[in-house]
Amino acid sequence: MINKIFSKSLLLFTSFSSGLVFSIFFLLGYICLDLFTLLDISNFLSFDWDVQKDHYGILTMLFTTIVISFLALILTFIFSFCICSTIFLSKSKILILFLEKTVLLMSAIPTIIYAFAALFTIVPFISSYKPSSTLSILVASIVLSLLLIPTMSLIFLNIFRTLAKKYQRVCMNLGLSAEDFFFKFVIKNAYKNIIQGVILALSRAIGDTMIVLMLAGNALSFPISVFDSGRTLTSHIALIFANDYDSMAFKAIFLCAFLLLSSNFLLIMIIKSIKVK
Amino acid sequence: MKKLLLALLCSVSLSFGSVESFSGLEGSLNIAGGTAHIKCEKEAIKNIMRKHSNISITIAGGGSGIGIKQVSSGLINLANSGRKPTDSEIKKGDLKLFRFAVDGIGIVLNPKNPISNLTTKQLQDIFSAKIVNYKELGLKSAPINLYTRDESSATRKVFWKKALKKSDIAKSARVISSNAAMKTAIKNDPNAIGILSLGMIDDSVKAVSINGIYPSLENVKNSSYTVARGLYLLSSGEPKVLAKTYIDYLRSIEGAKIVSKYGFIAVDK
Repeated sequence: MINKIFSKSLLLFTSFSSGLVFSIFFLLGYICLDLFTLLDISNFLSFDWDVQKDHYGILTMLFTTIVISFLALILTFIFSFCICSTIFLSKSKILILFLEKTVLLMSAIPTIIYAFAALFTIVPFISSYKPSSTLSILVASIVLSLLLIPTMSLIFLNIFRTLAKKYQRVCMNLGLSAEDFFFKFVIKNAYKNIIQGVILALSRAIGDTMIVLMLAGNALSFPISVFDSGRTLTSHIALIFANDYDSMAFKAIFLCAFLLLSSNFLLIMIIKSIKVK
Repeated sequence: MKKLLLALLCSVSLSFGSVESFSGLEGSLNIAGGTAHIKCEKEAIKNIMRKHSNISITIAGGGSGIGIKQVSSGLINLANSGRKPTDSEIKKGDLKLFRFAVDGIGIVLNPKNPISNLTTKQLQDIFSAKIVNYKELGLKSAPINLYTRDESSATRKVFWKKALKKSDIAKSARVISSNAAMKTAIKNDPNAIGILSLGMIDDSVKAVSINGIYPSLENVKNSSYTVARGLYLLSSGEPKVLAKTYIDYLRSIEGAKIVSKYGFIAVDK
């Protein structure tokens, strides 16, 4: 009886939360449709944001969001794969414990701490090599990758260990070394989960605000190098939010929000569509 | 010492309020908005809350635009604004304005930068990215790293209007969301040039003269340095007792001492 009440309550809360998310999604979509009656859609789907000239193009921000997210994702994948491989293959219990605890600790650090620390470490370091580059896409991507490491690493570790628990003894009895078992069996069978981990980390990268706001420089120009400053969709929302409710700039950020939410929906759909054994 | 004398001179017309005027009051007061006000108001709040434990006052940033929006919506009791709200903002939020200080806006550089003066034309060319290297200003070759504030910032609006004479600000300029973050960025970048509230300027950054006039308190006070603005507290409708007492305290002689300590000019109207 208690179980039944509990499961019904869970279902109720889940339906309510899902309904809320979909309501936000449809509300944003409705506001965007209204927006297109005020200005031509081509105005928004351009690379030029200039409030004084009534230009509200958000493609530069979209492009910067994609660049920073993917750059961070590549770095995260390299770091996470190295960490997880070491944890899986190392025979040193101290090293394994140290790496595991470090990853767990990293997941507990607030994003603002990463950004704040980077302002006094990575930013001066990069600008000492390239004086024109201070707050830049590169700095934001590096720091964002640190934020994503726990998300990706914990997913990787979870599947590696699940597979090891099931098959390691059998494979070892067949004469496979630990390295062979890892690279020829675990990786081969875990690639769908690895893709899921990568996509989950990507959705987190796209949605992050604090790190990109503090470190990417927020310039409105189209970035042509990773050393340039750039503005992501999330930073743009945060910076434009303070404008007057009636201004077109304020209304245009609903389109940014709609794009962000749509991209997250799309990524979740991709994760769901990947069939895991 | 000069700052203190100036504050005392300015405060002749100020009322004789003190933290004692909060006696018998209780409750909470939420303030948000402009970031230039924060350091100064924090000290005032500390003085009040130290003596009156049943009063809770919180202060947050966000920028003048956010402050105006939040006070108009009734989310906060008072807003800090570094600019006079527009007529439509005043009408929409039924805003009442209380100016308690005048603040200058300075061009700031990293202390290692040898520049001490810039003309309006040079400023316009630098901020519109027509001049992108210090070599063009007769210095050693180095890129000019331009920093500005976000579009809703009062510091940016006043600077754009009064110092740049409404000339363009380049899109390549890095956009910083608060005065404190601007100071950190300038301090860490030897090639930086940015804008900052005079109240925030200290030894970690270097203020430069515009057309030969240094952005000092004296020059702001005698109007020779014109890139200045009022610092306002805004309420939606008439302020309630606690908010009114807080405003009066900041405009009192005791409040003026705090205001001037943080590099502003105290005023009561």
